[in-house]
Amino acid sequence: MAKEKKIPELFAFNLLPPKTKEELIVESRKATSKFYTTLLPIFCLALALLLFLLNTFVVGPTKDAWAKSVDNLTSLLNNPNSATGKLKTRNGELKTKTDFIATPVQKNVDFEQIFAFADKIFGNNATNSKASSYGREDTGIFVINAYSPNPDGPAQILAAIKQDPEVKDVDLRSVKKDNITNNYQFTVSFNFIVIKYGAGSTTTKT
Amino acid sequence: MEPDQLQPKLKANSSIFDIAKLYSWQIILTLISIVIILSVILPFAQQLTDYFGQISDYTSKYNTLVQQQQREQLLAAVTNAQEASLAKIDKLIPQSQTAVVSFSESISKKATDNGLTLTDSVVGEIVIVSQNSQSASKPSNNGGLQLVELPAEFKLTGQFSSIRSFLSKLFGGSDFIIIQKMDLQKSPAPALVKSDSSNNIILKNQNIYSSSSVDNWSMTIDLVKYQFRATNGDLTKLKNAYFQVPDNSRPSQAVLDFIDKNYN
Repeated sequence: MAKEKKIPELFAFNLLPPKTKEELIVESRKATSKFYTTLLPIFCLALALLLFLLNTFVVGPTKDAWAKSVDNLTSLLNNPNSATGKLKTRNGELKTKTDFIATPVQKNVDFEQIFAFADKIFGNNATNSKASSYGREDTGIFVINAYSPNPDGPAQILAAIKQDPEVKDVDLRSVKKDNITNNYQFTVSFNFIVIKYGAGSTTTKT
Repeated sequence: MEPDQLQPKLKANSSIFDIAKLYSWQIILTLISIVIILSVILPFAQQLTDYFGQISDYTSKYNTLVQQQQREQLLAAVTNAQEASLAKIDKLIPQSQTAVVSFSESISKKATDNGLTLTDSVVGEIVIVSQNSQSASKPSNNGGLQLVELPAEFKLTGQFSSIRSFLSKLFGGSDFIIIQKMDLQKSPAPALVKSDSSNNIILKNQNIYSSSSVDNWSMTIDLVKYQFRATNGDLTKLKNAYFQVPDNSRPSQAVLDFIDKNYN
Protein backbone atom coordinates (compact mmCIF):
# COMPACT_ATOMS: atom_id res chain seq x y z
CA MET A 1 0.00 0.00 0.00
CA ALA A 2 2.78 2.42 0.85
CA LYS A 3 4.49 1.75 -2.52
CA GLU A 4 1.31 2.28 -4.50
CA LYS A 5 0.91 5.66 -2.92
CA LYS A 6 4.37 6.71 -3.91
CA ILE A 7 3.91 6.06 -7.69
CA PRO A 8 1.59 9.00 -8.44
CA GLU A 9 3.83 11.19 -6.37
CA LEU A 10 6.83 10.19 -8.51
CA PHE A 11 5.04 10.86 -11.80
CA ALA A 12 2.90 13.64 -10.64
CA PHE A 13 2.64 16.45 -13.08
CA ASN A 14 -0.14 18.69 -14.15
CA LEU A 15 -0.46 20.31 -17.52
CA LEU A 16 -3.43 22.36 -16.54
CA PRO A 17 -2.77 25.76 -15.23
CA PRO A 18 -3.26 26.04 -11.49
CA LYS A 19 -6.66 27.17 -10.47
CA THR A 20 -7.06 30.67 -9.33
CA LYS A 21 -8.04 31.48 -5.79
CA GLU A 22 -11.48 32.62 -6.97
CA GLU A 23 -12.02 29.34 -8.83
CA LEU A 24 -11.04 27.38 -5.75
CA ILE A 25 -13.47 29.39 -3.64
CA VAL A 26 -16.27 28.80 -6.16
CA GLU A 27 -15.49 25.09 -6.27
CA SER A 28 -15.45 24.91 -2.51
CA ARG A 29 -18.78 26.71 -2.33
CA LYS A 30 -20.18 24.40 -4.99
CA ALA A 31 -19.07 21.33 -3.02
CA THR A 32 -20.57 22.69 0.19
CA SER A 33 -23.79 23.56 -1.63
CA LYS A 34 -23.93 20.03 -3.11
CA PHE A 35 -23.35 18.52 0.29
CA TYR A 36 -26.11 20.50 1.96
CA THR A 37 -28.48 20.05 -0.93
CA THR A 38 -27.93 16.31 -0.71
CA LEU A 39 -28.69 16.51 2.98
CA LEU A 40 -31.97 18.35 2.36
CA PRO A 41 -34.04 15.46 0.89
CA ILE A 42 -32.42 13.10 3.38
CA PHE A 43 -33.50 15.41 6.19
CA CYS A 44 -36.98 15.67 4.67
CA LEU A 45 -37.26 11.91 4.40
CA ALA A 46 -36.03 11.54 7.98
CA LEU A 47 -38.54 14.10 9.16
CA ALA A 48 -41.32 12.37 7.22
CA LEU A 49 -40.29 9.04 8.72
CA LEU A 50 -40.22 10.56 12.19
CA LEU A 51 -43.68 12.04 11.71
CA PHE A 52 -44.99 8.76 10.35
CA LEU A 53 -43.58 6.84 13.30
CA LEU A 54 -44.87 9.45 15.74
CA ASN A 55 -48.35 9.33 14.20
CA THR A 56 -48.48 5.57 13.84
CA PHE A 57 -46.93 4.39 17.07
CA VAL A 58 -47.25 7.22 19.57
CA VAL A 59 -49.90 9.86 18.95
CA GLY A 60 -52.35 7.70 16.94
CA PRO A 61 -52.60 4.94 19.56
CA THR A 62 -52.83 7.55 22.32
CA LYS A 63 -55.72 9.19 20.49
CA ASP A 64 -57.39 5.81 19.95
CA ALA A 65 -56.96 4.97 23.62
CA TRP A 66 -58.61 8.26 24.63
CA ALA A 67 -61.43 7.66 22.14
CA LYS A 68 -61.97 4.17 23.55
CA SER A 69 -61.97 5.46 27.14
CA VAL A 70 -64.48 8.16 26.23
CA ASP A 71 -66.67 5.62 24.40
CA ASN A 72 -66.55 3.19 27.31
CA LEU A 73 -67.40 5.83 29.86
CA THR A 74 -70.13 7.29 27.64
CA SER A 75 -71.75 3.91 27.14
CA LEU A 76 -71.50 3.23 30.86
CA LEU A 77 -73.13 6.55 31.70
CA ASN A 78 -75.76 6.14 28.99
CA ASN A 79 -76.81 2.74 30.24
CA PRO A 80 -79.98 3.12 32.31
CA ASN A 81 -79.52 -0.39 33.64
CA SER A 82 -76.10 0.26 35.17
CA ALA A 83 -75.86 0.98 38.90
CA THR A 84 -75.41 4.71 38.34
CA GLY A 85 -78.03 4.62 35.57
CA LYS A 86 -80.61 3.28 38.00
CA LEU A 87 -79.72 6.01 40.48
CA LYS A 88 -80.07 8.61 37.77
CA THR A 89 -83.44 7.21 36.67
CA ARG A 90 -84.72 7.25 40.25
CA ASN A 91 -83.49 10.80 40.75
CA GLY A 92 -85.16 11.84 37.49
CA GLU A 93 -88.43 10.22 38.49
CA LEU A 94 -88.38 11.92 41.86
CA LYS A 95 -87.48 15.26 40.27
CA THR A 96 -90.26 15.00 37.67
CA LYS A 97 -92.92 13.95 40.15
CA THR A 98 -91.99 16.48 42.84
CA ASP A 99 -92.01 19.23 40.21
CA PHE A 100 -95.50 18.16 39.19
CA ILE A 101 -96.90 18.26 42.72
CA ALA A 102 -94.98 21.32 43.95
CA THR A 103 -97.92 23.60 43.19
CA PRO A 104 -100.68 21.35 44.59
CA VAL A 105 -98.68 20.93 47.79
CA GLN A 106 -98.75 24.69 48.29
CA LYS A 107 -102.55 24.58 48.25
CA ASN A 108 -102.79 22.01 50.99
CA VAL A 109 -103.94 23.97 54.00
CA ASP A 110 -104.95 22.76 57.42
CA PHE A 111 -108.43 24.21 57.94
CA GLU A 112 -108.15 23.60 61.66
CA GLN A 113 -106.02 26.77 61.57
CA ILE A 114 -108.97 28.97 60.64
CA PHE A 115 -111.25 27.32 63.24
CA ALA A 116 -108.60 27.75 65.91
CA PHE A 117 -108.12 31.37 64.88
CA ALA A 118 -111.87 32.02 64.95
CA ASP A 119 -112.09 30.42 68.40
CA LYS A 120 -109.34 32.76 69.58
CA ILE A 121 -110.95 35.89 68.18
CA PHE A 122 -114.61 35.16 68.93
CA GLY A 123 -114.06 33.12 72.09
CA ASN A 124 -113.74 35.98 74.59
CA ASN A 125 -115.21 39.01 72.95
CA ALA A 126 -117.20 41.47 74.97
CA THR A 127 -119.73 42.15 72.20
CA ASN A 128 -121.01 38.56 72.04
CA SER A 129 -120.12 38.35 68.36
CA LYS A 130 -120.20 34.89 66.81
CA ALA A 131 -118.87 33.38 63.59
CA SER A 132 -121.58 32.12 61.31
CA SER A 133 -119.60 30.89 58.33
CA TYR A 134 -116.07 30.12 57.27
CA GLY A 135 -114.61 29.95 53.83
CA ARG A 136 -111.58 30.02 51.68
CA GLU A 137 -111.76 31.57 48.25
CA ASP A 138 -109.96 30.49 45.11
CA THR A 139 -107.44 33.28 45.67
CA GLY A 140 -106.46 31.73 49.00
CA ILE A 141 -108.12 34.45 51.08
CA PHE A 142 -109.89 33.23 54.20
CA VAL A 143 -113.34 34.64 54.93
CA ILE A 144 -115.36 34.63 58.15
CA ASN A 145 -118.95 35.80 58.26
CA ALA A 146 -120.14 36.75 61.73
CA TYR A 147 -122.98 38.46 63.55
CA SER A 148 -123.15 40.58 66.60
CA PRO A 149 -126.06 41.96 68.64
CA ASN A 150 -123.83 44.85 69.60
CA PRO A 151 -123.19 47.70 67.12
CA ASP A 152 -119.57 47.83 68.29
CA GLY A 153 -119.13 44.14 67.50
CA PRO A 154 -117.82 44.41 63.91
CA ALA A 155 -115.31 47.13 64.81
CA GLN A 156 -114.04 45.28 67.88
CA ILE A 157 -113.65 42.00 66.03
CA LEU A 158 -111.87 43.79 63.18
CA ALA A 159 -109.51 45.44 65.67
CA ALA A 160 -108.81 42.11 67.37
CA ILE A 161 -108.01 40.44 64.03
CA LYS A 162 -105.81 43.33 62.92
CA GLN A 163 -103.82 43.16 66.15
CA ASP A 164 -103.20 39.46 65.76
CA PRO A 165 -99.68 38.73 64.50
CA GLU A 166 -100.86 35.53 62.78
CA VAL A 167 -102.70 37.31 59.99
CA LYS A 168 -102.29 40.01 57.36
CA ASP A 169 -104.37 41.72 54.65
CA VAL A 170 -107.28 42.09 57.05
CA ASP A 171 -110.36 43.62 55.48
CA LEU A 172 -113.89 44.32 56.69
CA ARG A 173 -115.83 43.58 53.54
CA SER A 174 -119.37 44.39 54.59
CA VAL A 175 -121.56 45.24 57.57
CA LYS A 176 -125.30 45.21 57.54
CA LYS A 177 -128.06 45.18 60.12
CA ASP A 178 -130.65 42.43 60.00
CA ASN A 179 -133.93 44.10 60.90
CA ILE A 180 -135.58 40.84 61.95
CA THR A 181 -132.97 39.68 64.45
CA ASN A 182 -131.45 43.12 65.07
CA ASN A 183 -128.03 41.53 64.64
CA TYR A 184 -125.19 43.18 62.79
CA GLN A 185 -123.91 40.80 60.13
CA PHE A 186 -120.38 41.37 58.88
CA THR A 187 -117.75 39.72 56.73
CA VAL A 188 -114.02 39.79 57.45
CA SER A 189 -111.34 38.57 55.07
CA PHE A 190 -107.68 37.97 55.85
CA ASN A 191 -104.73 35.80 55.07
CA PHE A 192 -102.42 33.89 57.36
CA ILE A 193 -98.82 35.03 57.38
CA VAL A 194 -97.72 31.47 57.97
CA ILE A 195 -99.97 28.79 56.60
CA LYS A 196 -99.86 25.46 58.32
CA TYR A 197 -99.18 22.56 56.02
CA GLY A 198 -100.00 20.23 58.84
CA ALA A 199 -98.20 17.87 61.18
CA GLY A 200 -95.91 20.59 62.46
CA SER A 201 -94.59 21.72 59.10
CA THR A 202 -95.19 25.29 57.99
CA THR A 203 -94.46 27.50 55.10
CA THR A 204 -94.37 31.24 54.85
CA LYS A 205 -97.09 32.60 52.66
CA THR A 206 -95.65 34.72 49.93
CA MET B 1 -35.18 39.43 -35.91
CA GLU B 2 -31.81 40.96 -36.70
CA PRO B 3 -28.66 38.94 -35.91
CA ASP B 4 -27.43 41.78 -33.67
CA GLN B 5 -30.52 41.44 -31.54
CA LEU B 6 -30.47 37.63 -31.51
CA GLN B 7 -26.92 37.32 -30.28
CA PRO B 8 -27.41 38.70 -26.69
CA LYS B 9 -30.56 36.65 -26.25
CA LEU B 10 -28.80 33.45 -27.23
CA LYS B 11 -25.98 34.44 -24.96
CA ALA B 12 -28.44 34.94 -22.09
CA ASN B 13 -30.13 31.60 -22.78
CA SER B 14 -26.81 29.89 -22.90
CA SER B 15 -25.87 31.54 -19.58
CA ILE B 16 -29.09 30.32 -17.86
CA PHE B 17 -28.56 26.88 -19.30
CA ASP B 18 -25.01 26.83 -18.01
CA ILE B 19 -26.09 27.88 -14.56
CA ALA B 20 -28.84 25.25 -14.59
CA LYS B 21 -26.32 22.65 -15.73
CA LEU B 22 -23.88 23.78 -13.05
CA TYR B 23 -26.49 23.56 -10.23
CA SER B 24 -28.60 20.76 -11.69
CA TRP B 25 -27.84 18.47 -8.73
CA GLN B 26 -28.94 21.08 -6.22
CA ILE B 27 -32.00 22.00 -8.24
CA ILE B 28 -33.15 18.39 -8.61
CA LEU B 29 -32.60 17.65 -4.95
CA THR B 30 -34.35 20.81 -3.89
CA LEU B 31 -37.32 19.92 -6.09
CA ILE B 32 -37.38 16.41 -4.61
CA SER B 33 -37.28 17.93 -1.14
CA ILE B 34 -40.14 20.26 -1.96
CA VAL B 35 -42.15 17.32 -3.26
CA ILE B 36 -41.43 15.37 -0.06
CA ILE B 37 -42.40 18.34 2.10
CA LEU B 38 -45.62 18.96 0.23
CA SER B 39 -46.74 15.39 -0.28
CA VAL B 40 -45.51 13.68 2.86
CA ILE B 41 -44.37 15.99 5.62
CA LEU B 42 -47.24 18.46 5.48
CA PRO B 43 -49.99 15.78 5.48
CA PHE B 44 -48.24 13.97 8.33
CA ALA B 45 -47.85 17.24 10.24
CA GLN B 46 -51.51 18.01 9.59
CA GLN B 47 -52.47 14.55 10.82
CA LEU B 48 -50.33 15.02 13.92
CA THR B 49 -52.00 18.36 14.64
CA ASP B 50 -55.40 16.75 14.12
CA TYR B 51 -54.49 13.94 16.49
CA PHE B 52 -53.39 16.42 19.14
CA GLY B 53 -56.60 18.37 18.68
CA GLN B 54 -58.65 15.19 18.98
CA ILE B 55 -56.70 14.11 22.06
CA SER B 56 -57.38 17.49 23.61
CA ASP B 57 -61.11 17.14 22.82
CA TYR B 58 -61.23 13.60 24.14
CA THR B 59 -59.40 14.66 27.30
CA SER B 60 -61.84 17.44 28.06
CA LYS B 61 -64.81 15.19 27.19
CA TYR B 62 -63.40 12.44 29.38
CA ASN B 63 -62.92 14.84 32.27
CA THR B 64 -66.52 16.03 31.87
CA LEU B 65 -67.74 12.43 31.85
CA VAL B 66 -65.66 11.61 34.92
CA GLN B 67 -67.22 14.57 36.71
CA GLN B 68 -70.65 13.35 35.59
CA GLN B 69 -69.82 9.87 36.87
CA GLN B 70 -68.70 11.29 40.21
CA ARG B 71 -71.93 13.28 40.46
CA GLU B 72 -73.97 10.20 39.66
CA GLN B 73 -72.08 8.20 42.26
CA LEU B 74 -72.83 10.93 44.77
CA LEU B 75 -76.50 10.55 43.83
CA ALA B 76 -76.40 7.19 45.60
CA ALA B 77 -76.28 8.85 48.99
CA VAL B 78 -79.03 11.33 48.13
CA THR B 79 -81.32 9.11 46.11
CA ASN B 80 -81.20 6.12 48.46
CA ALA B 81 -82.37 8.42 51.24
CA GLN B 82 -85.15 9.71 49.03
CA GLU B 83 -86.34 6.33 47.88
CA ALA B 84 -88.81 6.20 50.75
CA SER B 85 -90.22 9.56 49.63
CA LEU B 86 -90.65 8.26 46.10
CA ALA B 87 -92.52 5.23 47.42
CA LYS B 88 -94.79 7.58 49.41
CA ILE B 89 -95.42 9.76 46.37
CA ASP B 90 -96.29 6.66 44.33
CA LYS B 91 -98.71 5.62 47.04
CA LEU B 92 -100.28 9.07 47.50
CA ILE B 93 -100.42 9.96 43.83
CA PRO B 94 -100.62 6.64 42.09
CA GLN B 95 -99.89 6.16 38.44
CA SER B 96 -103.02 4.38 37.38
CA GLN B 97 -106.31 4.60 35.57
CA THR B 98 -108.82 7.14 36.72
CA ALA B 99 -109.91 6.83 40.34
CA VAL B 100 -112.88 9.18 40.04
CA VAL B 101 -115.40 6.71 41.40
CA SER B 102 -113.27 5.38 44.25
CA PHE B 103 -112.32 8.94 45.24
CA SER B 104 -115.95 9.99 45.41
CA GLU B 105 -116.83 6.88 47.39
CA SER B 106 -113.98 7.34 49.87
CA ILE B 107 -115.05 10.94 50.59
CA SER B 108 -118.66 9.91 50.99
CA LYS B 109 -117.63 7.18 53.42
CA LYS B 110 -115.44 9.59 55.39
CA ALA B 111 -118.32 12.05 55.61
CA THR B 112 -120.74 9.37 56.77
CA ASP B 113 -118.24 8.06 59.31
CA ASN B 114 -118.06 11.55 60.80
CA GLY B 115 -121.82 11.88 61.09
CA LEU B 116 -122.31 14.16 58.08
CA THR B 117 -124.97 13.91 55.45
CA LEU B 118 -123.88 14.09 51.85
CA THR B 119 -126.48 16.02 49.90
CA ASP B 120 -124.72 16.33 46.57
CA SER B 121 -121.45 15.49 44.84
CA VAL B 122 -119.94 16.11 41.45
CA VAL B 123 -116.63 14.55 40.45
CA GLY B 124 -114.68 15.14 37.25
CA GLU B 125 -111.28 14.78 35.74
CA ILE B 126 -108.88 17.37 34.34
CA VAL B 127 -105.52 16.66 32.80
CA ILE B 128 -103.06 19.31 33.87
CA VAL B 129 -101.08 20.27 30.80
CA SER B 130 -98.89 22.99 32.21
CA GLN B 131 -97.20 22.97 35.53
CA ASN B 132 -94.82 24.95 37.70
CA SER B 133 -93.00 27.34 35.37
CA GLN B 134 -89.75 26.83 37.25
CA SER B 135 -89.88 23.15 36.66
CA ALA B 136 -87.23 21.52 34.60
CA SER B 137 -89.57 18.73 33.64
CA LYS B 138 -91.82 20.26 31.05
CA PRO B 139 -94.57 18.11 29.63
CA SER B 140 -92.70 17.98 26.35
CA ASN B 141 -89.72 16.23 27.91
CA ASN B 142 -91.25 14.24 30.70
CA GLY B 143 -91.86 11.18 28.58
CA GLY B 144 -95.60 11.58 28.52
CA LEU B 145 -96.21 11.73 32.25
CA GLN B 146 -99.28 13.76 33.10
CA LEU B 147 -100.70 14.95 36.35
CA VAL B 148 -104.40 14.30 36.41
CA GLU B 149 -106.58 16.38 38.67
CA LEU B 150 -109.80 14.90 39.99
CA PRO B 151 -111.86 17.87 41.14
CA ALA B 152 -114.88 17.12 43.25
CA GLU B 153 -117.55 19.28 44.81
CA PHE B 154 -119.34 17.91 47.85
CA LYS B 155 -122.27 19.41 49.68
CA LEU B 156 -122.50 18.20 53.24
CA THR B 157 -124.59 19.00 56.26
CA GLY B 158 -124.08 18.22 59.90
CA GLN B 159 -122.96 19.50 63.25
CA PHE B 160 -120.05 21.88 63.49
CA SER B 161 -117.95 19.45 65.50
CA SER B 162 -118.59 16.72 62.91
CA ILE B 163 -117.51 19.02 60.10
CA ARG B 164 -114.35 19.95 61.96
CA SER B 165 -113.61 16.31 62.57
CA PHE B 166 -114.25 15.48 58.92
CA LEU B 167 -111.94 18.25 57.71
CA SER B 168 -109.30 17.26 60.20
CA LYS B 169 -109.42 13.62 59.11
CA LEU B 170 -109.40 14.65 55.48
CA PHE B 171 -106.28 16.71 56.04
CA GLY B 172 -104.50 14.23 58.26
CA GLY B 173 -105.55 11.16 56.30
CA SER B 174 -103.37 8.92 54.23
CA ASP B 175 -104.66 10.37 50.94
CA PHE B 176 -103.23 13.46 49.31
CA ILE B 177 -106.39 15.54 48.92
CA ILE B 178 -106.37 19.30 48.57
CA ILE B 179 -109.19 21.48 49.84
CA GLN B 180 -109.31 23.98 47.03
CA LYS B 181 -112.27 25.98 48.22
CA MET B 182 -114.59 25.79 51.18
CA ASP B 183 -117.75 27.48 52.24
CA LEU B 184 -119.07 26.50 55.62
CA GLN B 185 -122.10 28.19 57.06
CA LYS B 186 -124.67 27.71 59.67
CA SER B 187 -127.90 26.42 58.16
CA PRO B 188 -130.67 29.02 58.18
CA ALA B 189 -133.17 28.90 60.96
CA PRO B 190 -136.66 27.65 60.06
CA ALA B 191 -138.51 30.00 57.81
CA LEU B 192 -140.24 32.81 59.53
CA VAL B 193 -143.78 33.70 58.70
CA LYS B 194 -144.64 37.32 58.58
CA SER B 195 -147.61 39.19 57.20
CA ASP B 196 -147.32 42.44 55.31
CA SER B 197 -149.67 45.37 55.36
CA SER B 198 -152.09 43.68 52.95
CA ASN B 199 -152.19 40.51 55.04
CA ASN B 200 -150.30 38.52 52.42
CA ILE B 201 -148.09 35.82 53.91
CA ILE B 202 -144.43 36.33 53.15
CA LEU B 203 -141.96 33.54 53.72
CA LYS B 204 -138.68 34.93 54.94
CA ASN B 205 -135.87 32.54 54.24
CA GLN B 206 -132.93 34.68 55.16
CA ASN B 207 -129.85 33.54 56.95
CA ILE B 208 -130.82 34.18 60.51
CA TYR B 209 -128.33 33.46 63.20
CA SER B 210 -128.79 33.48 66.87
CA SER B 211 -127.07 31.90 69.78
CA SER B 212 -130.01 29.60 70.30
CA SER B 213 -130.24 28.33 66.69
CA VAL B 214 -129.80 24.65 66.07
CA ASP B 215 -126.18 23.51 65.54
CA ASN B 216 -126.71 22.52 61.94
CA TRP B 217 -124.14 23.56 59.37
CA SER B 218 -123.91 23.14 55.64
CA MET B 219 -120.66 22.99 53.79
CA THR B 220 -119.75 23.17 50.14
CA ILE B 221 -116.25 21.92 49.65
CA ASP B 222 -114.14 21.65 46.51
CA LEU B 223 -111.63 18.84 46.84
CA VAL B 224 -108.92 17.79 44.46
CA LYS B 225 -107.18 14.47 44.27
CA TYR B 226 -104.21 13.92 42.00
CA GLN B 227 -103.03 11.02 39.91
CA PHE B 228 -100.16 10.42 37.54
CA ARG B 229 -100.77 8.94 34.15
CA ALA B 230 -98.52 7.93 31.28
CA THR B 231 -100.19 9.33 28.17
CA ASN B 232 -99.20 6.57 25.83
CA GLY B 233 -98.79 3.89 28.48
CA ASP B 234 -95.23 3.33 27.36
CA LEU B 235 -93.30 2.84 30.58
CA THR B 236 -89.98 2.35 28.80
CA LYS B 237 -90.31 5.80 27.25
CA LEU B 238 -91.18 7.18 30.65
CA LYS B 239 -88.17 5.50 32.21
CA ASN B 240 -85.92 6.93 29.49
CA ALA B 241 -87.34 10.38 30.14
CA TYR B 242 -86.52 10.03 33.85
CA PHE B 243 -83.02 8.91 32.86
CA GLN B 244 -82.58 12.01 30.69
CA VAL B 245 -83.19 14.38 33.62
CA PRO B 246 -79.81 16.03 34.34
CA ASP B 247 -78.09 14.46 37.32
CA ASN B 248 -77.53 17.89 38.89
CA SER B 249 -81.30 18.45 39.07
CA ARG B 250 -82.57 17.85 42.55
CA PRO B 251 -86.15 17.06 43.58
CA SER B 252 -88.14 19.84 45.18
CA GLN B 253 -87.06 19.89 48.81
CA ALA B 254 -90.31 21.56 49.90
CA VAL B 255 -92.30 18.67 48.47
CA LEU B 256 -90.01 16.07 50.05
CA ASP B 257 -90.29 17.80 53.43
CA PHE B 258 -94.05 17.93 53.05
CA ILE B 259 -94.28 14.24 52.17
CA ASP B 260 -91.91 13.18 54.96
CA LYS B 261 -93.61 15.21 57.64
CA ASN B 262 -97.20 14.47 56.74
CA TYR B 263 -97.23 10.92 55.49
CA ASN B 264 -95.25 8.60 57.73
